[in-house]
Amino acid sequence: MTFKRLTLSLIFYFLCAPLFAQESREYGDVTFTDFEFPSTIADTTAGAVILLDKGLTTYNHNFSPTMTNHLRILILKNSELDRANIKIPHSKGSKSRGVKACSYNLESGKIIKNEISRKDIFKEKVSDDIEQEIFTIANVKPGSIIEYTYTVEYGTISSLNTWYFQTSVPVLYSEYVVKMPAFFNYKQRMTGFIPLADYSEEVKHGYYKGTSFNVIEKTFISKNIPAFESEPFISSKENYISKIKFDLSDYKFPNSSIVEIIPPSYGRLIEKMEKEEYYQGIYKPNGFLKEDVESLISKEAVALDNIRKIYEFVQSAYEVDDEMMSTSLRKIHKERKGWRQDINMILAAMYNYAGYEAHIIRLSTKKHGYVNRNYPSPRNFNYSVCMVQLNDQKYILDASEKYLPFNILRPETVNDQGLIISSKHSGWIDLTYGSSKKTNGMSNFSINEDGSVVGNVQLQHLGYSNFNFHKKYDNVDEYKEEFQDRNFQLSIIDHNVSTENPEKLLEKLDFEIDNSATLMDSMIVFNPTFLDKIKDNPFQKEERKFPVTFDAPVDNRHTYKIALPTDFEVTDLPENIAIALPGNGGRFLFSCQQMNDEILINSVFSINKTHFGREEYVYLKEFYAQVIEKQSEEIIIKKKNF
Amino acid sequence: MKLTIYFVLLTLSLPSFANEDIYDSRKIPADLKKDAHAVFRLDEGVFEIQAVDKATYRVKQIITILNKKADHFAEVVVGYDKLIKVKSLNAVAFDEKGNQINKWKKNDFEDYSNISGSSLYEDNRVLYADLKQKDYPYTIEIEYELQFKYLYTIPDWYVIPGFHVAVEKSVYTISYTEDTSPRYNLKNTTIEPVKTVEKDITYLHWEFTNVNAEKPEIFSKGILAITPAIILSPTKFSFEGYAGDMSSWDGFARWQHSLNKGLNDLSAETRNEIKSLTDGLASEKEKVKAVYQYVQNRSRYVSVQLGIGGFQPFSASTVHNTGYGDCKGLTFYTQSLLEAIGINSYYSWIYAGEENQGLNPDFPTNKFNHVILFVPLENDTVWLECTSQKLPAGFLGSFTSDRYALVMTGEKADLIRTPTFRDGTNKVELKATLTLDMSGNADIEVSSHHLGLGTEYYSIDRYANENHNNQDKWVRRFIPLSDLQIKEFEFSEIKGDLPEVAFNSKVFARNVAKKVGDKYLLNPSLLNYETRRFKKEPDRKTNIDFPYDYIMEYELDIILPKGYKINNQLEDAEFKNQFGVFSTQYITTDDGINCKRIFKPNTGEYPADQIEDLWAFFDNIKQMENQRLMISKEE
Repeated sequence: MTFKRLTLSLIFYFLCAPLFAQESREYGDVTFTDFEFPSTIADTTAGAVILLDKGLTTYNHNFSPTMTNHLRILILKNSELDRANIKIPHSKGSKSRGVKACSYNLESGKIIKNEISRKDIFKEKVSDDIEQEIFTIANVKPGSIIEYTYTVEYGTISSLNTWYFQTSVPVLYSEYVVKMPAFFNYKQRMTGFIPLADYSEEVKHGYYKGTSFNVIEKTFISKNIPAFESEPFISSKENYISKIKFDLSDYKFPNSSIVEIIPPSYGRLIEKMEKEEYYQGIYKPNGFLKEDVESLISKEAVALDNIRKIYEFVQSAYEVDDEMMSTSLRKIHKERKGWRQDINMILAAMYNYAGYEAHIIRLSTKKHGYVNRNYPSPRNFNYSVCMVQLNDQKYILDASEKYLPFNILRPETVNDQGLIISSKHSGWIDLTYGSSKKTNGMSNFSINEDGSVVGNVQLQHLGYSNFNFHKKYDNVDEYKEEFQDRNFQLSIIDHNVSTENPEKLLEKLDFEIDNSATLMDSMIVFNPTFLDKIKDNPFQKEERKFPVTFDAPVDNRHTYKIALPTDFEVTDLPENIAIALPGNGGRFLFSCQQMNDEILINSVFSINKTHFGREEYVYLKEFYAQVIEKQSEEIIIKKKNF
Repeated sequence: MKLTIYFVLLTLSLPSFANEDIYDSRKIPADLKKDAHAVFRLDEGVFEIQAVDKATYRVKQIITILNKKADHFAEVVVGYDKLIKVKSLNAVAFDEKGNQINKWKKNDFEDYSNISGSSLYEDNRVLYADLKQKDYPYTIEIEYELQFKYLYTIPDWYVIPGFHVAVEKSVYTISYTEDTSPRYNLKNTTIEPVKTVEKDITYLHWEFTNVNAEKPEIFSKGILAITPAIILSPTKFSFEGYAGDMSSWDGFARWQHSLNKGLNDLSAETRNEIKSLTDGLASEKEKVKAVYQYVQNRSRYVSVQLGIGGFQPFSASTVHNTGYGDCKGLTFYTQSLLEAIGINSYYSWIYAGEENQGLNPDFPTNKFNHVILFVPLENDTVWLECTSQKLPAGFLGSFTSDRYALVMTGEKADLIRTPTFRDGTNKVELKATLTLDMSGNADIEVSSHHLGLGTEYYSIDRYANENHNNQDKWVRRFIPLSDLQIKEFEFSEIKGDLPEVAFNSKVFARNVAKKVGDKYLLNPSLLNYETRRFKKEPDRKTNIDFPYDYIMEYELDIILPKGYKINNQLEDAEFKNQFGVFSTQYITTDDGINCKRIFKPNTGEYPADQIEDLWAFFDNIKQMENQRLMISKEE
């Protein structure tokens, strides 16, 4: 080798040298340091750490997307060994290819690699639409690293698979690359609180039938991501987990016109949707509705009464049927059943037929996540309710539930705002509860000398309490059986539950209880709230990551009257308390006093809002702690002259 | 002749339309509806053995579903695999009066794979359809025919399919030729079959009518313990070309032996490796432990069952090279390794799980679902659960202990009972020190020590090696207080002859002592309740299955705040009867009180008429556990 060449090669070596210090991110590049628990991962008790999670979305010659996945996982505990059993599901018709998988083990200072072979891969038909490849990797134990990669072609260009940065175990390095031909205009949406470590965008070139076109390559990198841990009372995991999603907004091939997949604004989305035949249906002169409408309304009646009557009619006459194949209003009317949201379509159609202005509001239910305001896609929504306007008042109605009172929405649907599908209106509208889980109670207890208690409890369940009861129990007997099982310590003499009033559930309970909690001979101890008190504090942890979301407001009021046995006097009574959550979030009042031979207790517990920010958590925690403390306090009475 | 056969067949199969009352729910006899959520109007099975490796099974069921609790009967699941084919499948739904509402053909059923959680690939599949109707009562009719390409198992016939189900008519027929004659064993019934012979085909026919619904009872083995049943087993059979004879346990062993033949193919290298690993060890038992540990450290459980693969293990070298296998493969592998160092051990079939109905030693049949290894040593026997990465050698968890295993010694087999572990070694010791403050809150140090089956208590054996977040959730379940701030905790797994786990924690709990005026009430049982709550149903039918398999020793030290005293005296007490002992003891200390509880249950099966003694046992425990200390300021 000449001196010149040597110099060149040396220079080249030094230019390349830094590369060896970089982390190995290609398939097969496992090094000794990969076997050490990463110092940048906080949870040292993790059962596995994903060292590499790489995804690449690119396009094939038909411009349909393909996704390549590459994972490298350090397995630390027996509980995560099943990660070595890999499944690659895909829809029937699409294919998976380039499947490679292996395990690495550190043995006597050497890295031993075990690759799978083709015959280890089984193909399985999961159902009529889904197939999958499955295989398992040899030689995997705590301390092993597994690595695998595969490519799947999948059908639609309009929405790419969601990429989750955060998973159920910590992730050391997550990289998602999307190579999009410039023909396609995607809107991206990220959720979660973990900031990206790096982001880059490059323009490259691709070739199609001789012509070149731009390809935008976007790279998203996130590092040292803790495992996602859910908390009690959150709106939806999808609102908080770190992920990114691309949805196609429009595309334009050269020498073709632009194809709009979603409109550029919600205003335009409304215009587009209201013109669709499906939504237009509620404004047509639907003659088949004539008989029903005319039987319900009268010109002399107050408009609101007519509106109520139509609501109640649709509520009781139509059944929800998720298997219904048609969304034709005529068919739904004929069968008296349809999809849940289509029943609200019928409602809107009837209002319009009767001459009242009604439109559809599209919304996203709580589990479905918050609506993405930056991406005007109909896919943001998964449900419809009906809005009817009377003068200046807007009533938002859901007729799909038999026991939902007029102008009250199902708690599951009260999520952020809904979109009014009518250009006559201003787009977004607040969705509110209009009701709470409301219970009024009156308990009369009579304590006997031997410590036994005779009780009579009367409860009224209103609002969402009433609604939830009917959702949960098909009939009263089911509830009574469950009640008996839960409260087996009561000797129930009579338990009467009346559903005569659809808006008010009435419960009457007569029982005896052998209260064998006598202390020190002559003392009797009694806890009056034993039947309805809160058992555990829902917020026991010191720290909270996500906002608190309850399903509905709560309003419980209860009075207790306790008659003492003759010759007994009160030794100790719970003291009064009045506490409240800041910002009128909720309150708890408890008063206890003695009037002659009776003890009177008054209790009010209410939670007025359903969304509490992280900074309010500490108050919620303390609020519940104090409520539970007060509710578990006992009354002590003792025989006089002792 | 042909006419006669036709006639016999006709009477065996109830014609669908000759009696339409069967679809009419109003025709159910009133007393059959008592406690019933569903009534089987007809449950018919016909099993036709055609050869040692061929059989047909026809099933017809007409079920009236009275309320939504029995809707699961309307979800039809018909399983099949490579060796069981579904030849036909039909279903019909009828309304209350017996009018047809809907019909389903085989094509209308959905086809799903049926792989269990820890399996990788099995050829098990199911055909599924949901026939539920909205209005009750409704009736469904299901008819299907399966083709068996083997005779290894014959489906047993259970008359009562579940609790709260009445049976109007249950009919079972099995037919065979002399060289394929099966055997049967009756349970919970003495109804012998009617036997008829036509040409060279023998028919055995059973009928059960008007069987009332049963209600579940607490502490009971379940419906399988009370339902009349016909347990069936072949004599001669063939499975994927492997022939066998199941009329004796030895025959079973011979068949399994023929499957396992030649699969011990460990390389010389592997044999040498295991020899040098164990050569220096003092006793045979030490060597067995070392081999077991070797398998545990390098293997994991994965199930791959395909056809004969359901019965034939992977070869030993395959398990060695891949580091995975199912119970058969891992057991056979361990057996092969032991053989390489000159120790004999035996492949043993067993039924694993809680539903153990008990094997009948006089009736050889395949009711097994798991394989373990039996190692008889000179002064000891060691059982090995080869699918576990953690259990110490010789220890079997509750899911395989205290039952018969079929130990196969070459061409013979022996029924040997697995250990019961009732000698007091299975224990949970729960110790806590509670320092009460003046507001009724407390700093508590809670620690527990679990030994043997005591490690299954609250599944601590699983959580001891989980991530911190899952362990936190476990601690909140284990310490049953309403408002817990967890300061620190630690799990340690201790190596030894028995599984052993220790748990330590420091918590701060609010509201442990309930305020009454200026006093506090504290229940010493706040960290552990043994009280069991259940309705006291008279006229108990089933035997009492008392399954506790550990002793609980609980000790709580209460330290009072300065200037406070305990006002009342709690009495030491003990209750003892055939179900066990429960005792409480209180000792005053300088700064508070020391409370001890011991719960020693007597595991076992007890006759139904002793139910009142069981109530008394738990009533007394409840009384002792509900006592409270009254704490107040010293005057």
